Amino acid sequence: MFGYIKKIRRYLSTKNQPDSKKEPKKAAAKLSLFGSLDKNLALFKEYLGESSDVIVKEFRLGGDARTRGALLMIDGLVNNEIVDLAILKPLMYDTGFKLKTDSGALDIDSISKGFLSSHEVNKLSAVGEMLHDVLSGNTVLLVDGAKEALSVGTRKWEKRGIESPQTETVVRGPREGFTETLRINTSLLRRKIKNPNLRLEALKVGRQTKTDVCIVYIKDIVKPGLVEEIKIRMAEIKTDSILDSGYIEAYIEDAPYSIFSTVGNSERPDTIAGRLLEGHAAIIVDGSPFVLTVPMVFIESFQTAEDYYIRPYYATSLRAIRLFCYFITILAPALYVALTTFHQELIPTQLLFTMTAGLSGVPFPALVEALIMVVMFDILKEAGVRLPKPIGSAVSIVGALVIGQSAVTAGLIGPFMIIVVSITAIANFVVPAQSDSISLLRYFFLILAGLLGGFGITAGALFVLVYLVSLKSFGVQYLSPITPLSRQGMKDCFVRMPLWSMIKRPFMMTGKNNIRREPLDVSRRQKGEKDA
Amino acid sequence: MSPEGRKAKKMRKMGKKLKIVALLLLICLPMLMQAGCGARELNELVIVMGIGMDTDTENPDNIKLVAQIVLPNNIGQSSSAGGSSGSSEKAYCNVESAAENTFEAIREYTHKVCNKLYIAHNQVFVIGREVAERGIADYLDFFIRAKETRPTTTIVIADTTAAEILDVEAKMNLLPAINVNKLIEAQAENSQSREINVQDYVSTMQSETTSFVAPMIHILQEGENQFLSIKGMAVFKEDKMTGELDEDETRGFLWIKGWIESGVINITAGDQQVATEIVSAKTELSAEIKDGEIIMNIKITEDGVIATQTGTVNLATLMGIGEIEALVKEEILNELTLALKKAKELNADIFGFGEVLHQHYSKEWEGIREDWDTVFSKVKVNIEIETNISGAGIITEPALSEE
Repeated sequence: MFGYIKKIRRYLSTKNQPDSKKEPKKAAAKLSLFGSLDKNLALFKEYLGESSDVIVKEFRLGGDARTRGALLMIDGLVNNEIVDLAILKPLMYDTGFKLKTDSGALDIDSISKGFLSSHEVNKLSAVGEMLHDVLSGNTVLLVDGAKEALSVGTRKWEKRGIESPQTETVVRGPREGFTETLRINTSLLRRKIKNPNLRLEALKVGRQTKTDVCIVYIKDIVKPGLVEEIKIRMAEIKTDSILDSGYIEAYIEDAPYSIFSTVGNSERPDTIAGRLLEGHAAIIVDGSPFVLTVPMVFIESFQTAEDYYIRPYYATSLRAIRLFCYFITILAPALYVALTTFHQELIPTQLLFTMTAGLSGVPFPALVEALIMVVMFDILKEAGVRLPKPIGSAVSIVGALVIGQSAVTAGLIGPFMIIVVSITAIANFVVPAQSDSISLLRYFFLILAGLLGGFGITAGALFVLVYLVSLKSFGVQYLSPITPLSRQGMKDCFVRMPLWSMIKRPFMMTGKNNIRREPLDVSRRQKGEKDA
Repeated sequence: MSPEGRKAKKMRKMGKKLKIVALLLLICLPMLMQAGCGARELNELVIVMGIGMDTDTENPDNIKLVAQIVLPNNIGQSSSAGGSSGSSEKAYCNVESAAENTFEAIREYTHKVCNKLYIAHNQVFVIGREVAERGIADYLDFFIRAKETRPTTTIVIADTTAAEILDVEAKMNLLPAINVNKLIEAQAENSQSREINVQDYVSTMQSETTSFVAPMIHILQEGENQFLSIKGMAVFKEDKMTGELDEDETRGFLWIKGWIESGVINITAGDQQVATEIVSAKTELSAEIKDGEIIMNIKITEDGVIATQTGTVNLATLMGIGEIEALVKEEILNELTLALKKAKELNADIFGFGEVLHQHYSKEWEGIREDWDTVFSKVKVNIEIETNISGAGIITEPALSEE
């Protein structure tokens, strides 16, 4: 049996490795530009093909209009006004244009310095660079006779503005969320942390998509060795496409086979900033509003940004509710099955009568009954997520009818099962960060409870606990600060202590610079009041 | 990679394999262990609320049981039917079964009802008078052994047969068995009988000297209506009932055991009737051997309030209260004397004097234990009572007062 597993794993691992034979020639990257405009344009067309959005604008430069030039750009990625007014206009209409140096050579620098009224102009000599710049929204200027080209920053495309995040809404706290554009996202972080130590290291991942990825961390605060480890793992990504940060997550996870995610994510700049300041590193992927953070610990799923904006007592009670709901949503159907099929003696006598009366005529064993309802709930949930909003209400009405009274009156399930499933469903949405593992664990415990009762639930819980303890995320124990126990860490775990009392950063993250606050001295205030 | 490194890697791999094997075992073993006792669906349970024990009139060697089985579907109905009991169906049925022993009798039920009896929710064991007089140990052994029985199930001795008790329709929509149980629980309010459960039975039976005592239940006939009433307690010698304590004797017995929680003490002060309520009570029991004579010291501290009085004279004065305290003390002493007299008459150490003596004089006990039965009736008792009236309700003088 283990042989099989090994074989499958070996097969899977070879599949992920790049096939060197199919790799396209990297000629373009090294090939340098020719001195002739026609040759360069031919080369450009050869690489880009006949795409309809490629614009090649040929024109004549300067007042004498003797030198030929061409602008290369992609329609929709460039700012037309800048191209027309800041590039084309000065080049075409400005007279007194001195293209050639005294020695007679074509001076491309003088164009850059004297005529292009743009702050972002780069000189290029390789075809590869040229192609990349054009594809990322720059406009490339080719001049006949020059072996170098000029790339002007003209990026502008339609994008979503900063909106309040869809997933982690708050009552109190900032309402801005990340967008799909990398630059906007980094600017949101810069605005939160005005610190020269905030470092943004850019990478490109994906052979086909060439997606921009940015590793963000605060030098001095980040867990030592973390950035290096991320870079090593990023370098191991050999894939043709990165379409969302989820792709990166799948590649850099510590436990790729686990149902628990060991990479955190958030849509909120304040959450990410908070984690950066605790010593995490963030990974921003262009095209995804979800920013990844590593390392991730289990308890992160129960912390929200708002916890730190409201008073600590209420925040603590909210954490308790979230933890309680986590257990309820996983265990409620399992406990119901265990109680009704194995441990009827634990049900209060009067309740036992009503439950028994409610179940009379129900043909299924409790396990089947629970499975029907839990599957039904998952179906409704999935249907609700994918459906367009106008149809969504229809689903909820039908769902309420089916899950509700009809299933009971039809004699399919007992009335208590509905209460159990309702609690399960509501509690399910309280801990969104763990929602994927929650559904799976619910089935796991349900089946264990159906076979073995409370014993099964206990054994299953131990199994999950042992597994969680064994998990690590970028060298940090998944269950820390609970195990290994840390006093500083416990200040922000089950209980959210007042901010001024969390003097050190969580130990599992930090390096030498781990003091983040000075203790608060309130003695003066009280004295002041007395004097007054 | 160095050979050591490779070896270490191999070891790690083996460790991983072992881990998986251990996990599989962890999952499979309990499944095998549990395979024997299967699950029972809720709607297939035969829920028993009360078990009665009687003698079989046809075959005196047999044990006869009455099980009160709940019919859950009728519970809601009978409550909506209200007073008109004729139209609604009963929420229970009493099923009898007789066999050579208890276990067999319990299993015999499968001939009459659709599943094994489920006795985890059993509220009460009602023991018929005849059974009590012949010995209850044989009847109860099975239930004490069975894992389903709760140690807190109450035991009550019927004045008649158990079947009759379990058939008395309860008012307030209760099942008869639950009614019996609630009645017994309510006895703590007047301390003239007391709840005794399976646990008490087991611990009393394990004592060499202490006699078992259990509450008595009677049927009162009032016209067409039948009522249940808990009064007094049955006294056992070993497992056979030998006598009864009436209410006053029971109160005396409870004083000595320190089991008084609440209750009424009536006294007559001059020409005025006063009822005081026991608020708290404490009993200290100790043994002493002096000149070969066994003396039990009973020290009772009672704290009470005036609950009601007749007449117009204000009794809640320093003088009045002092008088009431003295009278209450006298009343308690009277109850104690009655209980002690009855116990000696029956020669049953219901108070657990033997155990107290054993604890205080373990060496001397060795000589006494053999003939405790004869010694018990000669034990001298030294009684010390302290009473205290700490209040008179929210008024002091009666509303209709002389002054």
